Amino acid sequence: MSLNVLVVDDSPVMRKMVIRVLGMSGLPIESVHEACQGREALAVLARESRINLGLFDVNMPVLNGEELVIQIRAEPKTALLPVVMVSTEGSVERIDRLKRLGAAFIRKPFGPEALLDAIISATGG
Amino acid sequence: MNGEWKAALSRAVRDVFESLCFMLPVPTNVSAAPDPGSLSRVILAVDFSGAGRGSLHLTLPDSMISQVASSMLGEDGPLELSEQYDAVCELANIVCGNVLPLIAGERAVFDLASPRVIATMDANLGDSFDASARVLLDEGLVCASISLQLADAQVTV
Repeated sequence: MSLNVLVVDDSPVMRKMVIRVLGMSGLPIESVHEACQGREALAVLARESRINLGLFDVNMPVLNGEELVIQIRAEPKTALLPVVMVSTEGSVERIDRLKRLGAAFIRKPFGPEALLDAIISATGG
Repeated sequence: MNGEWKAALSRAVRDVFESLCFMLPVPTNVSAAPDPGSLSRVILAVDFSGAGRGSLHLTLPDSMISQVASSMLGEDGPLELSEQYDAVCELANIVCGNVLPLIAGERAVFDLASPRVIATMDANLGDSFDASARVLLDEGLVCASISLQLADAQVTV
């Protein structure tokens, strides 16, 4: 199955880096969409029904990554969306919280193999 | 404590520059490297709060900025200056995010502020920090310094 990915990060540079590593992962990518914070991501998800993977930063203005996942899980159309959270700060407590929300986690910096593992974890293989 | 924090800083700088920029440390005595004060350099600061309060400063030569940004983004062509600075700010953010768990432990939760570029004249490297480390890469000398007041006395390095 081809992936239609939503990359959400308030840093354009980080979005570019994540997309670059995603391209190196060997996964079949059909489309990549971008948003700079959670509220914009929700608008993209409402508009683009094909999106079947989310790669979200944790620390973002307006609506952060964790709040974004909570809203996604509460919306029937997106409740099952596989999500990988991407962050520089990965305390055990935060990772546990994200796992309870059904999201995989990857800490920056990461390479294609680690991203692939996280995506497999999020999508259930 | 400072020796352990210095080792943590050194490890984080090495790991992040290798992973993100494919830049490796030079196997030589870092004390033989030029004093960073004698070079034109950029200083990036990341303030943080949570399990402890403080700041991390990452200093690198001006000449490395475009190389770091190009490596991080996989771009061969010239990048806009703003994009170059965005890239090195993200790099500083990632170094900070990696060094804090090495110092305070994996359970400590920190909130990192947005990285900022500070004027050289505002920085007094090594004087007001709890620990500093210098890592010599092929591309230049990188210095990382941290001031950190942990919320409790437990240090897990």
